[in-house]
Amino acid sequence: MTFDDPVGRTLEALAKLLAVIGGLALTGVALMSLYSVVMRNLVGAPIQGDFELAQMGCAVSVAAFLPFTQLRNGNVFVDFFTQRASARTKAALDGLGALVVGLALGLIAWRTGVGGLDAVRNQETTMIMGLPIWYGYAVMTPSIAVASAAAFYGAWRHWALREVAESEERS
Amino acid sequence: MGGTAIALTLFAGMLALMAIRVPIALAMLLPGAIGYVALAGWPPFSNYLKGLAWARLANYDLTVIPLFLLMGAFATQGGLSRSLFAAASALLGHLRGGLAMAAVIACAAFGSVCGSSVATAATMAKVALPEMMRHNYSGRLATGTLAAGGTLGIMIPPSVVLVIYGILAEQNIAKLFAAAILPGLIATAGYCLAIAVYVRLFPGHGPASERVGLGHLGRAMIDVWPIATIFLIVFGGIYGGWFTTTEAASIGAAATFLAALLRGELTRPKFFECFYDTAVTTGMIFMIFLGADIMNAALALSQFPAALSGFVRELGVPPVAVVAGILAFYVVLGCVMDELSMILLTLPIFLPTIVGLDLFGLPPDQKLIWFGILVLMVVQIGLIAPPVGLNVYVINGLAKNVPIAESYRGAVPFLITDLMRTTLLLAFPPISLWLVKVLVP
Repeated sequence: MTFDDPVGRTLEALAKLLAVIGGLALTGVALMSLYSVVMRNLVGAPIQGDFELAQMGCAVSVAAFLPFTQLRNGNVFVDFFTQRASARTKAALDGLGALVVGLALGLIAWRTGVGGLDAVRNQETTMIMGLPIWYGYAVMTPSIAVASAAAFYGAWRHWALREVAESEERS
Repeated sequence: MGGTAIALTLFAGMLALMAIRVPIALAMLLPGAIGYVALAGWPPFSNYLKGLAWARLANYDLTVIPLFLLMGAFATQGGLSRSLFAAASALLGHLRGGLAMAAVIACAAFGSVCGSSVATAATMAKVALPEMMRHNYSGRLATGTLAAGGTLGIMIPPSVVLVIYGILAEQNIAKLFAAAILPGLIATAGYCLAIAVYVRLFPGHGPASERVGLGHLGRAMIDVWPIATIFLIVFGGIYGGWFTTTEAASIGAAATFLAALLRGELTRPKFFECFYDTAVTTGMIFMIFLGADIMNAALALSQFPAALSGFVRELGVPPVAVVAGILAFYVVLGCVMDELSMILLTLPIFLPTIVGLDLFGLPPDQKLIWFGILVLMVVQIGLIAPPVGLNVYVINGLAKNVPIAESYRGAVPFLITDLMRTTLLLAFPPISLWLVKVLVP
């Protein structure tokens, strides 16, 4: 899929950047675990609280992956009941679906942000390393917000391009 | 309105949303949110949402999912499927239907480094499909074989579906993987047998090719050692007690990255593709998790799972029949619904029922491991059975000039063995549980 308008291009660049950040965070988790395993089995000295780092890294990477999923229309849906529908109807319904995704992710982003502020206020930390939990929230919240924006953009695109979908179906 | 009535209303709402193409994650999330607010009010729901993303995303057990996906992406983009198929076809290509059998065995081997079914099917198809077509295999047999072979990706550990099951059922993932090994091998043998019988009945579909020289065979065999090594390290480490599943997934991802790099196929654009592939699939899975979480929170408030469990116990139906009934329900539901969403949504509802049944006198955790393998079989059937077999779609999309009906016809022999194997595993739990006792004492 190519994005020919500035909003789409910006979102795509942002989503790709976040996906790469998420991938690097995941790679970081993998290397950290590898190091910890080697140290534990050879010297008997693993990284204390390595699983907390893995947990934090996982939260960061999964959240960072969400915008890209939205932009690539990566959500699973059922097309069994609409097989016979026209391309125009399908595009309109897909737009509606993406709109709902955007609203829900927006709600989750908002509440996650509030949860993050709570974590700052209550000075919540992980058990062993004492890492502040809000670090995770600070990456998750904007990622989910971008995912929400990507879904809204997708909704608009489906809606705007439903005429194109129709003419493509005819040709 | 009673709890059960509310639960059924939520289900109806969910199915209605699904029917109009709303993404499954949201078709679960929306009625779940409305149900939660209706049952408990807005303040508790808004409070629950504050911690939802953190609770779901920052979970040590769940870290294996993106890590195994990344490992599979490295294996896929790194072209590991090519050497596997080359080795298997050097070994079996001279038999009638041999290339198809080779594809099945290569899929099984690829499944040992990849936990996803569609990825296994698609990557193997890119290598094996042109080869089978060149040797005048019918489109029916070639596409059917690859669609079915791909399901070995989730049967042979690591398996993303089993990880998800393990998290929902709170079962040890290492034990679940151990339980899947024998059924996975039986599936591989069953698929090869299905091909052998099919080409005997309809010889035109899979002609034999020429036998290759010993030198060629030897070189092809040497080429697959990195994959065997990765498998041995990852699972040797888990069952030798050296590391946890998450650590195994980390090491597997790092090792597969190295193997792909050494093959020289992992260029910089492909390296980024690995991240993008992992991102899309991970995002998709966690979206469904979030939706299913909210739906299940609402269902739990309605106390529907407990009510269902009590109801089933009082029915007085033989326990194994209940399990068979649940599996049959999955096959039907799998016709319209994505299998992953299906298990995420339904397991929290069915698990209390399973735990409450007396099944062969098994203790609860063994019951749940055995049931997990059965669920895996059903998911696998759903991936190749009409009307919407995801694997069949994907493979058919890659094969030019093969009508989709032909591909479904090609999947039939494999579906027959799937049903036979599922029945076998249902009747004899030790097939799944024996290796668990040996490997994870």
